[in-house]
Amino acid sequence: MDVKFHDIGEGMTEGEILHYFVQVGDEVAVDQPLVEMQTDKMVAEIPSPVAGKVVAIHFKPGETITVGTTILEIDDGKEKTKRQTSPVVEQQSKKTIQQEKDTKTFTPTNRINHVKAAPYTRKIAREYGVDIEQIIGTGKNGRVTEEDVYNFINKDQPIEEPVVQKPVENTQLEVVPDIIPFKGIRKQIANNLSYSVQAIPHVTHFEEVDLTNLLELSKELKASDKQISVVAFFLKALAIALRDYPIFNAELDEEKEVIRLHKGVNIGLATDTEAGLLVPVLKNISGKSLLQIQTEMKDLIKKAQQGKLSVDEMKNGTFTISNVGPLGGIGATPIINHPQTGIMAFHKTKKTPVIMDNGDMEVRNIMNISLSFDHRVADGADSVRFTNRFVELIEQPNNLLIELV
Amino acid sequence: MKEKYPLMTVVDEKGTLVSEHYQSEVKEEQVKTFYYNMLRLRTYDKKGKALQRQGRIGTYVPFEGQEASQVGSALALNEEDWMFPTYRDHGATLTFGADLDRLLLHWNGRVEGCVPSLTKKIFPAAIPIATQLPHATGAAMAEVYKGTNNCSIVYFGDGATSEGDFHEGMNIASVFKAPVVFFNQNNGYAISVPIEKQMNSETIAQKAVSYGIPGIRVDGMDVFAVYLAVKEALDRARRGEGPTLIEAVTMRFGPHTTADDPTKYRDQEKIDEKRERLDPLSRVERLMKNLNMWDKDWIKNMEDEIETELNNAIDRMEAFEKPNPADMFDYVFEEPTWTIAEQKEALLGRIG
Amino acid sequence: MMISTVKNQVDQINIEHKSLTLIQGVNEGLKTMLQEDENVLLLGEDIGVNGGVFRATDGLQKEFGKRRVIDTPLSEAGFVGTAVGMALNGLKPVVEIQFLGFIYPAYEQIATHVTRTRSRTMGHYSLPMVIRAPYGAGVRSPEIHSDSVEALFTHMPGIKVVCPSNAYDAKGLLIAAIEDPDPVLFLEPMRLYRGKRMDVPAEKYSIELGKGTTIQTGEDVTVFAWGAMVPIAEQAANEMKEQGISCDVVDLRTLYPLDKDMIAESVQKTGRVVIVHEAHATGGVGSEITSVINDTSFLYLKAPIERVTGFDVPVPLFAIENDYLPTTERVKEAIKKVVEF
Repeated sequence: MDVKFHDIGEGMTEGEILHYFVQVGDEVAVDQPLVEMQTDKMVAEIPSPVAGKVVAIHFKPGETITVGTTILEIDDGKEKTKRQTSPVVEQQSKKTIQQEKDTKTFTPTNRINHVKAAPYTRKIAREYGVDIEQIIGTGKNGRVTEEDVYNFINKDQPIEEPVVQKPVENTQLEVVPDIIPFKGIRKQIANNLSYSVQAIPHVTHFEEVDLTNLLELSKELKASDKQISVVAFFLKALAIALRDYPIFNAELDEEKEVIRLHKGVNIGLATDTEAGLLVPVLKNISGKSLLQIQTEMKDLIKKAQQGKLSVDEMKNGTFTISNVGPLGGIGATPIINHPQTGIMAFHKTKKTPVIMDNGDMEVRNIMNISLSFDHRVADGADSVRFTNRFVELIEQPNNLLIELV
Repeated sequence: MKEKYPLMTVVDEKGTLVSEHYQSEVKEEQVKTFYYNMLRLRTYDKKGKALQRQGRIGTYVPFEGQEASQVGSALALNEEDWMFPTYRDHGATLTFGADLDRLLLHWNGRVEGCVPSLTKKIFPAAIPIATQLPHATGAAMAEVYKGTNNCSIVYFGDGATSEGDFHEGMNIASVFKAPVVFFNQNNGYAISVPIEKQMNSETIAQKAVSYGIPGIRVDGMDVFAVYLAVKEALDRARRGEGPTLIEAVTMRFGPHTTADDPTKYRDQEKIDEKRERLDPLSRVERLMKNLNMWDKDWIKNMEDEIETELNNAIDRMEAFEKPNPADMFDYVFEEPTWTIAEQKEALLGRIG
Repeated sequence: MMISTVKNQVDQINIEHKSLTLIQGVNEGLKTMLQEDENVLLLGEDIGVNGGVFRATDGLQKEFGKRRVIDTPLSEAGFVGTAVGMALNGLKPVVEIQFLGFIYPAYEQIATHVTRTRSRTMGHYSLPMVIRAPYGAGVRSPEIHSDSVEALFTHMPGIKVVCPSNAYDAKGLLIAAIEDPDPVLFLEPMRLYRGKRMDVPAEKYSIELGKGTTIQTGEDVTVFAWGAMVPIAEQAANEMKEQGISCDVVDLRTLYPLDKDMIAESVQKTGRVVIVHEAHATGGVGSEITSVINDTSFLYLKAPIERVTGFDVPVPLFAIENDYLPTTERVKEAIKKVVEF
């Protein structure tokens, strides 16, 4: 049996061997003093834990040993004494090896916070899978606000792209950015959009529309010198679809806890102008001919671009469209023009191979549409039915005739 | 003051009765019971010191020299009495009926060692000095409320008399006439500070005057005197006459604990000389020899019996189930609070 | 048949109520338990004939006798220690410390025995006892009398810490504390002792320890308070309504263990937090609440948590104690600060 030097004084680490009471070969009894040790606190005799014969003494008097060291060995007949050429300090480091294995390298992504943001703002970004480091803060002291996150999300740009692969974004953070004043219409737009996003639980429904037939009709009309744009057809078709599904031509009054279904269809035309996004409203579409619609629409857009819209011309919309098609894009999640219930965006029309009902493949003009709606007011199934109705009217423009009042 | 509070002795250093008056106190069976219990404590105490040096238990608190005080006082108690010991009074608790296995577990850092005896009302040893005096008072008052005639005995050292709780416990007990025996073992040293530096009063017994209660000074190396003094104090208490302060003048032969070296503050050789003369076991041995009660076979059998009891207990202590870290969380409140429950789960999850 | 049913319902609704101040709520709670459980007894300085320096135990010695309502010597460590012995031996002592600022001599007893006995005996011995103590500034008391050191005890494992802010809670929480199998420190805001009256059921009822209560609901900010700070927090919240800011005002009632669920629920709703306590700032219970928020609701925070507390100074003499104490104005500023962050 190995007789060790233990911590005998509440926190001792080492001790000096003063003298031995036994020699190799001596028979010892249980609790018989074996060796006298000097520690920082006291002189102490170490008694034998077993009866037996002293078979080895490892240190000379005067030597200092650490706690845990085997001082001497006694053969107590119970177990074979392990012969050791040198005394062993019992501190072999299984643990150290274990620890090394367990240590995982910490990947230094985004080690330094570039942006300031409240935890709640970070939570929103996290939930939308947005890297908050990519957002430029517009809040106090450049803080990223909740609005900034929502605005970032609603920008049509791929958000997953890691920051390292976007040197342009990076430099924006590092060099002084160009300053665009945030006021006037820009600020008004921002406020409206932010409010809408916060107040309305948005859901967006995507669909494809085959415009081939409509484009042919439009071409025919053009040939006969009657220029009617596809958008005018869209408006007319929407007016019919909204009549059939009036819940999308509605307004939720939260305070009074009612949903108002509007009688007339007044559609706002989201218009890209130099001053920013403006939304003139084309009123009472149901009661107007395609030609009237075409004329009024051109007029409103022109006024918008010239900054000549009257306040009345921007009021009382019941639904909004955003025709971003000419600019490109395959889909978007448009923000509802509060307090309306729906907004439909039209995207770029592309020539696309389509398998027709008869099995033939044809090249067709396909356009994507995105319908955002207020989920508090309408359900998902309604939005599908509403969109289907619209699609049906556009894909078979003859159907529009049936609906003529 | 020493005249006013004379040292009560029944059997002197030579092992002779100081007065015929005590003749009835030295019946053979009683003498042998005292000797057996003191030898049992002496053997246990030596074993404790050895186990500590061998690294088999943690810090140990030896009481060698105080066996007469601890045995005499513990044997004077009734089964239903309360005992409030300090960390040096495990001799008294063992004599009264504490579980030997649990005592050893306690020295080995196991909480199981603090679990009280299932048969005797023994509070776990007080570690802070003198805090147990008010406890004994409260437990004794509760016995009165219950209508029993059970008492408390509370142990404390000379150093404890300097603490506020010594005064507060004694004062409240005296005001309410609580059935308590305040049993002081004056072993002359509070770790390194000798009694002359601890107090200006000549005796501890005289402090009883402040509380209007009896103060008794007894030879703490004389198990017979201690037994009688405590018995009398308990009888007084049971009669509803309130507490008594007993000063048992004794000696600690060894260090304060196994982490202490008494040669740093006193001449240990002088202690050893005194020990020759004053050892409480030797005194009873002399008495027994004087009275022709000393029977070598009886002694040998008893030694073997004690040795076996101890070795078996040590074996059980060393084979005791592994400590469970959950124990530290499970008994703080009857129902763990959410903080404790969460912390327990986190620790157990980590260590598997 | 019909008439009888209706009558029964009316009977159920018409439980007998008494209009009580907070201190009368305490008195009612003690009385209820003295009647209910013969092992309950009261110990403290001047609590007998005198009925306590604040009259919390008024009339109780007369009704229950000197054995049940005990005037002790002036000896905080002594009678807390005596209560330990009593609780150990089957009694249920309720100890009154005259002022929380005088609890310090008993601190050792509380730290080394009251809070540890169950743990160190693996549940073999437990100490069902309550230590009551009036606390806090604002009543022009002499030095030391105004301390609010709840954190010294919430930090200490093994004791629950409770602090009511009104008569109803005082009675219900005190009864729950006395019935609790473990030690409870019961802090009584002396500033509210004789404040507003409240209808309190005459019968026995208890309020679960460890549960807060929302005394006002709002959406923008959560204000946490307890004891004497509850009316301050409430008034500040009311005044902020004029500015269009609505607050959840939570009275925590138990300071250990904290009502984690209630804290998390409110903070996750509002995202903005103000904590009000009259104790010193550093290491106060407010810091612990902040930690609970950190653990449960970090990602909901819209602004840094604001604390409105006493300062890291000894509670000053009463000539300037109102400058030490949190005020409605300070709480309002904090609310504004978290909203405008």
